[in-house]
Amino acid sequence: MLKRMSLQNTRFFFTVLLALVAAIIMTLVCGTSVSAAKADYTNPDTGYYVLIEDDADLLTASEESELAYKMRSVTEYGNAVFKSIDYNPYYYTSTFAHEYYDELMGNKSGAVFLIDMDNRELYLEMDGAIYKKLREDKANTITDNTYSYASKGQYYLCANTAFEQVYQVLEGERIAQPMKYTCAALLAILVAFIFNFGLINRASKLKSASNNDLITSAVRTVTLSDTSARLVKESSRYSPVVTSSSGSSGYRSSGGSRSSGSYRSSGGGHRSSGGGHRGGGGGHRF
Amino acid sequence: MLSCPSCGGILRFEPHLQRIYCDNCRSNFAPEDYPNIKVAVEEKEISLERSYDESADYDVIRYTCPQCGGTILSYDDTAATFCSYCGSNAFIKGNLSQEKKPDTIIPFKLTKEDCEKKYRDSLTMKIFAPSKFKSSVTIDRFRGIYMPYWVYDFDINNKRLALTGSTETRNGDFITKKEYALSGTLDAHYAGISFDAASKFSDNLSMAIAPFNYKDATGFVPSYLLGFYADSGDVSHSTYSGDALNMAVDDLTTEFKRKPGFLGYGVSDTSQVTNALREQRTKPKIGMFPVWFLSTKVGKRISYAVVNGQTGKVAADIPVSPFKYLVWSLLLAIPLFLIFSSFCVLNPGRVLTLSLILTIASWVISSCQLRELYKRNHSLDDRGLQSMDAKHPHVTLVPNKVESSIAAGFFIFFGALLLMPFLGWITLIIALVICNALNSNSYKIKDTITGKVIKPKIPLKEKLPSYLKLGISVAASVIILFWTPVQDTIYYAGAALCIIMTILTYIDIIGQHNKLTTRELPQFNVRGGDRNA
Repeated sequence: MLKRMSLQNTRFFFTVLLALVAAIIMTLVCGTSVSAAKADYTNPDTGYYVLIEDDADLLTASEESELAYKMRSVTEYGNAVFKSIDYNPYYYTSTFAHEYYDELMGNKSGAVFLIDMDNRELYLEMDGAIYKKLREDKANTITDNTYSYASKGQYYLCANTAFEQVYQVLEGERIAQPMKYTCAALLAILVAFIFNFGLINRASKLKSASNNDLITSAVRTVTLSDTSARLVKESSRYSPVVTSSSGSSGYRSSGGSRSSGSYRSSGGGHRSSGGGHRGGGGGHRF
Repeated sequence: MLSCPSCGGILRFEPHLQRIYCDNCRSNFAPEDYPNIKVAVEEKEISLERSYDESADYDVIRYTCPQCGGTILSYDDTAATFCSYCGSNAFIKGNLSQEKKPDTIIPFKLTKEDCEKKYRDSLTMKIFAPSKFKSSVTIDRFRGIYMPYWVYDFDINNKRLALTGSTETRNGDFITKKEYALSGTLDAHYAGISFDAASKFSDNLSMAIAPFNYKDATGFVPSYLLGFYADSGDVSHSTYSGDALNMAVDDLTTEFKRKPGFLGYGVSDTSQVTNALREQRTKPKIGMFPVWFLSTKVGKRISYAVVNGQTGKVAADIPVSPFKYLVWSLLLAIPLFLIFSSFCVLNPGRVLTLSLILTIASWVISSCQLRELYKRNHSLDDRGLQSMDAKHPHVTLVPNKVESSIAAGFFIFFGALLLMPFLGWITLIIALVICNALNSNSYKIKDTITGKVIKPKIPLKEKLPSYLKLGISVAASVIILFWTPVQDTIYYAGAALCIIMTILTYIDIIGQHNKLTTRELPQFNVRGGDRNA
């Protein structure tokens, strides 16, 4: 009887295990197939895809297909995604971009170009190989170079230019960033002026001789003879020693949680500390 | 010129030999062997005399500059070639003068060549100095001058002192205080606490080449002046007598704490020492101390370089060549540009914030410079000249209790830097404004008679050029940062305005620095110099 019951338990256990494995496999397969199904193009060599989700309906159908075609080049390095929204459930555009990227691609290499009509802000979120090549600096430059199109309502031109410039950087080409260099040059000149003035000021200080220098250079003899010392008063007072190990009287929290800083779209992206993707990006209002 | 008794050659005091030397026959004489120099009435004959002259005066030729009224004493005809104080070349020959004999002299130990080498060495790192300051023609104008110093001596002989002392020792949770009555017999001798006695010789220069080692001092004989020059003092000995007394008191107190009889008893009350020193001080003496002196004209102003003729310590007013400053700044900007453009994420907002911070920092620098100029223009850094100035005879500079106000400013600044990620850029701007306010209170000007604090009033025309430029750029940047426009061009325009205005301000700051490193052309018959320079 006992042996029979044990056999039944074993069967039940294996059935549950098989069902779980099947469920996991199905979820993974279905998940991939959803992404693949949504993709406008999948690069046969790399497996990276192009995806356009124009929720804010900023592009016409022909513009979408043209943009998808232009975005194909980026798939040599990672997924290329265009996303537009007219409602942002998060406060910051960067937060949405980060969460969206995380949900869509996890740690995979890719670039999401987001137009947030709610905040009127562009954001380029990246990870993997693309992030390694672009970083926040280039993401900021690209959004700087394209925000003016968005301001004029030329969203196709805006997205197209952004992906063109992403590809240019990935290919090792340079993208125009004249203001960045102009400002870096002007800042460098200003810092050099201040630094050199510091050097001048330091070198030109006339250091006066100290009183000790003056007195020791004089001729001096001090002789004290026939000295006596008489104790006239002795008193004691209680003054307990306070040691640092005794602890403070106030309350000190020993740890606890700390709210993470808010995402700042202008700050050049963020890094998630949990299991999400570890890329970053840059954005610009329009 | 004084002729050699052996061959008629020119005699001069040779610092390396410490003897009077004839360049022609190489004879040398001890200065003490010729304690007197006689100048004939016609001023054509100057002769060494072996006879001792007991009078309090000595004969010398006094040269007066027609430009500045400065005078110099010498036996040398070449004194007529240029003025050491205003750099003027028109220097007329003087007249025979009877000067008060100084009590003591420290002879020159450094020759002109030694002095020039020391000066050149000190210039090696001064890359921004105008080329004129490094040229041989300029350096050749170094002149050895015996500058007058007030020498304060204190003598306490066999003085019985009764002092108090106290010590505190910890024993577990108890502190035991012991108070002692101390007594002893003191013999203390201080000789040679010295301060310059010529208003022509700025205090900040004289203090920068101090101290002179008084052990080398000897009795004055005019033959030490051969080949050199001398100045006469005009500052009252009372100007520095308090400082000399305080120095002696401080030194004695320190000594008491070290002496075996009083060691470990914590000598605290020193009023008896102060009184004893005050009672026992001797009449201040006049000493002649050796200084190599160089004056260089910079436009309508003058720059001085001095070298201690005994120790070789150098102090020089070295202005900045705006051209060299510009070139070196542009050269330094190249690596900085590479760093900024390669490693820094420069978005428009950050560029504007950074420029604003640097602009405010420059405003702080400009304010400091203006305050320093105020001090200089009102002789607040020169006790000797101040005592001669009828306008400000009783004004003194008192450092604020928080001497470390600048250090406090730094703490605030870096504290703000730490807070910046949480509170934003505005924290830093507020911190810089506080730093500026703290700096403005780093010293007080006090009337020594009424005790009132005088507020320095920097003339508007002096501060307007820099403040206007900086004010416009700061206001524009703050408006942009609050407005937060979408267009990058507005941020960049604000940053460019800040940076260009600040660079232009640095032209003013360099001008202010050059005013601080040069001095007004002296007008010795009109005290305080040429204020229009």
